Amino acid sequence: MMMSDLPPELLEEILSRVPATCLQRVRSTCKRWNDLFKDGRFTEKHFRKAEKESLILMLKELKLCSIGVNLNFSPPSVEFQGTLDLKDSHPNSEQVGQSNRGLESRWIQRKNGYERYSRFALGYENNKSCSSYKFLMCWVCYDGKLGDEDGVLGFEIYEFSSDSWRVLDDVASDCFPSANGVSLKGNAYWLKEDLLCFDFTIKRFKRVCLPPVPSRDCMALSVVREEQLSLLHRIQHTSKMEIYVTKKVDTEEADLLWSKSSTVSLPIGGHKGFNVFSSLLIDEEKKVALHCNINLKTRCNMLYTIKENYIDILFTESIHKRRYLDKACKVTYILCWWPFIFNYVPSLVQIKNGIGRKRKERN
Amino acid sequence: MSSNKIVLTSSDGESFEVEEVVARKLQIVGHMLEDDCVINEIPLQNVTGDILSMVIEYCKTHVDEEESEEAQTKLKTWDEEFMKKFDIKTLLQIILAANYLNVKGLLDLVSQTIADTIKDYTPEQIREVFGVENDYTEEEEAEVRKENAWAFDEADTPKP
Repeated sequence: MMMSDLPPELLEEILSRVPATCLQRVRSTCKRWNDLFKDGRFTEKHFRKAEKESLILMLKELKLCSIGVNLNFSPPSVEFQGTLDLKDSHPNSEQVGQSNRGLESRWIQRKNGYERYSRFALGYENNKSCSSYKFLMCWVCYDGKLGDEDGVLGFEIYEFSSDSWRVLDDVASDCFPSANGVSLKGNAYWLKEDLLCFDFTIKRFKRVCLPPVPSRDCMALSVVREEQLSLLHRIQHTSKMEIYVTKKVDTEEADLLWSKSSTVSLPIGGHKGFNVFSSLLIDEEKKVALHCNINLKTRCNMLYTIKENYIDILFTESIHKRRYLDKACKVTYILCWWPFIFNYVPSLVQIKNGIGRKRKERN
Repeated sequence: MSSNKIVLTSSDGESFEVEEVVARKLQIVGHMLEDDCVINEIPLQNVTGDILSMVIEYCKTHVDEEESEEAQTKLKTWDEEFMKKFDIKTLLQIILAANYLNVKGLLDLVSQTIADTIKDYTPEQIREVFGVENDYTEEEEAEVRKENAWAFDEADTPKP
């Protein structure tokens, strides 16, 4: 009895349950298996049945890396796996930036070019097939100098399937998103005074509740397994940090239900100058969270885990000496980037025109 | 529930007397019983005795599927232990039988078990264990790996 003796429907039954994180190995096994993954009906089935395994991606220099954190060691160890080099992409070509084990990426043209200060969020309409991806672009244009309060705001939606842009009118100026947003189940979320959500189905911003935290600064938002939102909050002037998670997010429901997952105490003195920039809850049982931020004193990006009362620094990189050569202008300048980590759940669902999944862009 | 006994006979002539409620977990039997309720012996042409006995063992355990969380956890643990008993060849035979006899729960369980095994193997290991022939040329295989590079899959390093 061999696998090849199975009728096609049983082979599908099995392979539709292999998570997309193992895709490369499964497809390289034989032609018959590979062909299956090109079939739209099969990929729909796979989307429903396969476990959604998530990877952690980090923006490191101008590259996206997949990182593996091994919590079985003390201190935990980190391994950087595939990389997608974003800066090698050329703005005039369609299909770009394919590296050894990188994400597929492409440049999307906009008639008048992009505004310098833009923010992006990926989503899709929940009542349609999840392959109808769109992204929201919010930009601000300052006529005068930077710091001018009266920048002009713009909101536009790009639809992948039609390769078209659409301007969104009547958006209140306080809906301009903050820097670090996340995408979950087709919608995008940002931390503002409360939680700002862009609903891609109705194409409107809405406000949803945050847990009852005493102050609204020092917070970081992340997604757990494409199912829940998680919020990390450091209580100001103390060494206490709290982690909250929502119930599984149901897009039908109007609001979010938060509960406290854990409270940790940072080591004495460790909280000074400690900014929460971007964080992920990586082990719910052991209550381990992975964080990254920038130490402005040493000008280093740091990646570390926090578990109970321990901070373990996994990785640091100096940022002040790095230079970047702009291909078009031949200008060399110091590029300062914020470290950034997020969850990525690969799926077989293709964005139309054969574009791979595109998660997020940061300016 | 009726306590009628039904005799199931395998392709190699082995007979199993089971409660009707258990036999009905095999939907193929359920349909036959609906068509003609006087049958009490059913021949099953496409399954051998050793495999049929395992399917029956599964159905007996799953005969009362209680909703309570405790009962569900217990069943899940039983399922895991049950699957550990079999090698890949037997699992493939069970999945064929589950498909023929139309036992949805068992079909799902075996599919997931095999998928979990595939997950941890390199392409070479998959081919060896599952008897899959590599019909790629070297160039074609390299091309497929490249095409799927976005999966961030560590194809070259077998997982423990």
